[in-house]
Amino acid sequence: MMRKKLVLSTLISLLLCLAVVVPLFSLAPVAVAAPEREELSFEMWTLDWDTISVDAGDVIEQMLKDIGIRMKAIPLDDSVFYANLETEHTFEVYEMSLGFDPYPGHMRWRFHSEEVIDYGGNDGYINPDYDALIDQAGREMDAEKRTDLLWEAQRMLAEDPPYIPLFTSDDVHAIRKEWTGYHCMPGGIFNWYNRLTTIDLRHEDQEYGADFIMAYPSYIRYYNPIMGTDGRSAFAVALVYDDLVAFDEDMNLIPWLATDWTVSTDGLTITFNIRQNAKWHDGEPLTAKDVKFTIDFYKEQEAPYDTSLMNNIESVETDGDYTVIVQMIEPSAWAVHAFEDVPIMPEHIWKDKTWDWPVHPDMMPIGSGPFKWDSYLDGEWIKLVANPDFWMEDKPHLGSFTIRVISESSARFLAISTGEVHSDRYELDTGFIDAAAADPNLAPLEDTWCVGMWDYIISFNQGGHGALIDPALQDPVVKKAIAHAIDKQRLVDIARLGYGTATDNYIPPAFFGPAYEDPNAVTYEYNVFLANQMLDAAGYLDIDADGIREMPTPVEEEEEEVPEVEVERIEALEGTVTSLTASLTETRGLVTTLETNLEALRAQLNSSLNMSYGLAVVAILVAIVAIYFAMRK
Amino acid sequence: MGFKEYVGKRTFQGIITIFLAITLNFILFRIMPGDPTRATAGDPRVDPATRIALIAKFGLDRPLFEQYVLYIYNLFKGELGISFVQIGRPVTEIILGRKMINTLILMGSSMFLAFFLGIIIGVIAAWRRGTKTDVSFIVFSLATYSMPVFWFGMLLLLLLSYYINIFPIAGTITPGLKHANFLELASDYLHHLMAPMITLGVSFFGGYFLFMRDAILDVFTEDYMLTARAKGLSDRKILFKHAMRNALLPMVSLMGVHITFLISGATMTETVFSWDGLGRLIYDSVRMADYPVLQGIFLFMAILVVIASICADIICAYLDPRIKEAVD
Repeated sequence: MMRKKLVLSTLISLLLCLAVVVPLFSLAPVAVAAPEREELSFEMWTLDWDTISVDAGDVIEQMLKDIGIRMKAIPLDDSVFYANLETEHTFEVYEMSLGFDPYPGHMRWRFHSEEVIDYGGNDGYINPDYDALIDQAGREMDAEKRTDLLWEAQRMLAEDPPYIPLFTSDDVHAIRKEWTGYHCMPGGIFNWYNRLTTIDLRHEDQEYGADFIMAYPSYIRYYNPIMGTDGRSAFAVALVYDDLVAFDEDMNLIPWLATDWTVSTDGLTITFNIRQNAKWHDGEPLTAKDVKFTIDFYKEQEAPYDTSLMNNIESVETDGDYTVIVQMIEPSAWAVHAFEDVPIMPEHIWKDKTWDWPVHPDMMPIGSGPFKWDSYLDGEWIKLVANPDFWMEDKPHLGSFTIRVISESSARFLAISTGEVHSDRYELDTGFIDAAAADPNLAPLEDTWCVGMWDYIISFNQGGHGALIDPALQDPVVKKAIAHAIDKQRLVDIARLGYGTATDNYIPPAFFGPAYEDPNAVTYEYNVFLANQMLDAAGYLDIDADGIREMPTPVEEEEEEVPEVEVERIEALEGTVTSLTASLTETRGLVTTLETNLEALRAQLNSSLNMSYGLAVVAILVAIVAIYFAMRK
Repeated sequence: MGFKEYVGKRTFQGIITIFLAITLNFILFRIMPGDPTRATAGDPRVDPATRIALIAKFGLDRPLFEQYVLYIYNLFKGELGISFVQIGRPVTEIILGRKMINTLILMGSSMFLAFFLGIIIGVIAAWRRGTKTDVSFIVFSLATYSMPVFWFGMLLLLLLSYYINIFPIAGTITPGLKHANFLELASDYLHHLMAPMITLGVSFFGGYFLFMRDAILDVFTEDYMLTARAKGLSDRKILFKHAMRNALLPMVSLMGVHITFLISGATMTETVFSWDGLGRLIYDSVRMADYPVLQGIFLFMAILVVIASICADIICAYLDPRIKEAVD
């Protein structure tokens, strides 16, 4: 008995010690070192929950066998997959979709070397020439010149592809056939930037006042419009709040809350004229002050959203009640586009709030958009009713817009079939496409077929993050050969049952509009013979005849002599000026750091006080246990 | 050791268990792969700056030990933290609200249904051991017991909400409907409750039924059954007064173990029927790595389990002279 007790008490004490000690060590992830390899053999990650990614990955693996490259498709859980992409950067190749903005901003955040950071969008592509080009395009205010620059950037990428664009998985919606008036826009008939659908959707027998019910896979995350940037909340936010601008069906900017706008030739001053008949849902008039307040609110509170736009705004002024003048720090080609993402908020409600105010349960969100909140049940449904004072005449057509949570995808489809709900927030899963095409109650899929925002790519780690990378992945010949060996239309047919659009360019005109149709684009047609020839010529030969090519025999490179560069006086002078400026900035920085240090010191003191309280609690608990066991003997 | 010491000892053990559960919860969810800020951002267009700001806001950039100590400290102040996914909403508000009531009603009703039917039919089947009734109930209960509950739920959904179309497909009340009075609200709620309740009831039924049937068969071999029969009591009286009462004891302790289901809910069933309860909250929170909510629910469950088992033990010790003797 004594022995038993001893064992038990030791066990409990050990467990307790473990409980205290284990949190000391954060569990370090196992580092994956890229092994040295002789063969053209890679691991290609796909996303396990995304059937399109997995199916396309398997097909690519088969296709690349034709050119003697082993591309092993490995479906991975997103927590492992994304963690690597975001902070570890040791993957070799992945194939999945990234998602487009409504304007080609991705040309910067996917490829610019400044985006080679943790959580950044660039998978390690570093090219100073490209950076210069894309910086220039980002400052170019003339649309035609900018497009020329983007075309040049696109060609530059195609010569040494960091990724190969494959296809977009297109948006086909299950919507009951009695509903009409929706707008087909790249990204789908229901999307947060598809504002035209929300005002024009109607029942075929009822021009005005029909009740529309939409199924959501889960409830919206935020009632707060600033934070509601996830796909579910953003759509609800778009129904209730207005932005200054919107997009039409060809992804051109159209006036929304701003009737028009002018951008000065240097790109530093943007003047918006605001609608004079807009009102908040509580009856207050919407003026330029609210617009100024919204931008100031983001900036003053340092809300961590839309930061690239907000950090570039110098100041906002109003001129009268209906004109807003925005001063930019640097000219930005996409500044007006980016305002599509900034919901204008009522000053009289938000003026003493913080950016992370949950809104609920204090009140229902108040915006100026086509629909206003009527009732809701947190976690289950939201009922929005048409705003009778909406600034656009005779809009919206719907009488009410209900969002209803149905968690399970097949239950959502059944609910649309029975008419319990009328459509789904998201496009049809590939598994339901056949059933939807056969259902007589649904609109024909061709009517709802829009180019999707989810662009599938096969991306190669370019090593910019410092991970050890297979040299073959940095050889343009190998990547071009892979591009030639993939039949993109076949991928679409298998992975998305044909409802996809093969993409050859980095700015696919199918999504971004016909304006981006580059006549001289560098593309790679499906040609296995050519791909094999390219690899043969570059020395990637299958030496051991196992069907997989080996790396070429290394050629000893001669060392080049670096010519001595004469240092000119002007350069020296320039250097002095630069160093002076730098030291000035440094001094300024020091003052700011000192100020923040004081704050940090205060916070640290607080948290260490808390720490010691907590430690004391733990120590007391351990002591009680120890005393207890000691007393028993 | 007297009875009082026994109670004190069990209580103390309970507190240690809860403390261990808190620690394990904390470690467990942080070992799990997944980045809470990814779910928070949840959008391909989010800036890296946003992610980094959120990480700092949640204190996820601090050392794990510091996070742990602060968590314990706040817990002693009665704070469970703020949800990562729904920023600004306290965990207690999310857990101890509608979701909990929904889960209690769904689980309570279906467990009661299964328990009640399991006992009645279990007794009948044991009485008619070997007959067609007995065999067909055994086959039925084995089938339902081993059936994945989400699959059965989906079949039921297809049948009742699509082909026959008598029950709504999702939710707890009709969206957007303004109920005139409480009766209308209750009937709307019940209408939505039926399908998930039947699903869970059927899936729980098998276990209770088989347990009860075995317990009764055991009792039948006891001497006092023979005595009762010899006294000339009617079959009905023997069955329900003598046999069932004695067989119920193990059933009650089984029910005690199952009490936790009342809170944890049925993750799968709640998801299939879009029942807005704690089970679905666990599912969503795991997917989005919402540590504070998960820690809150599991802490809550741990406390409930500990209290329930302490109560059961103490009551048993009080009621059952054999245990009391062993303690003394």
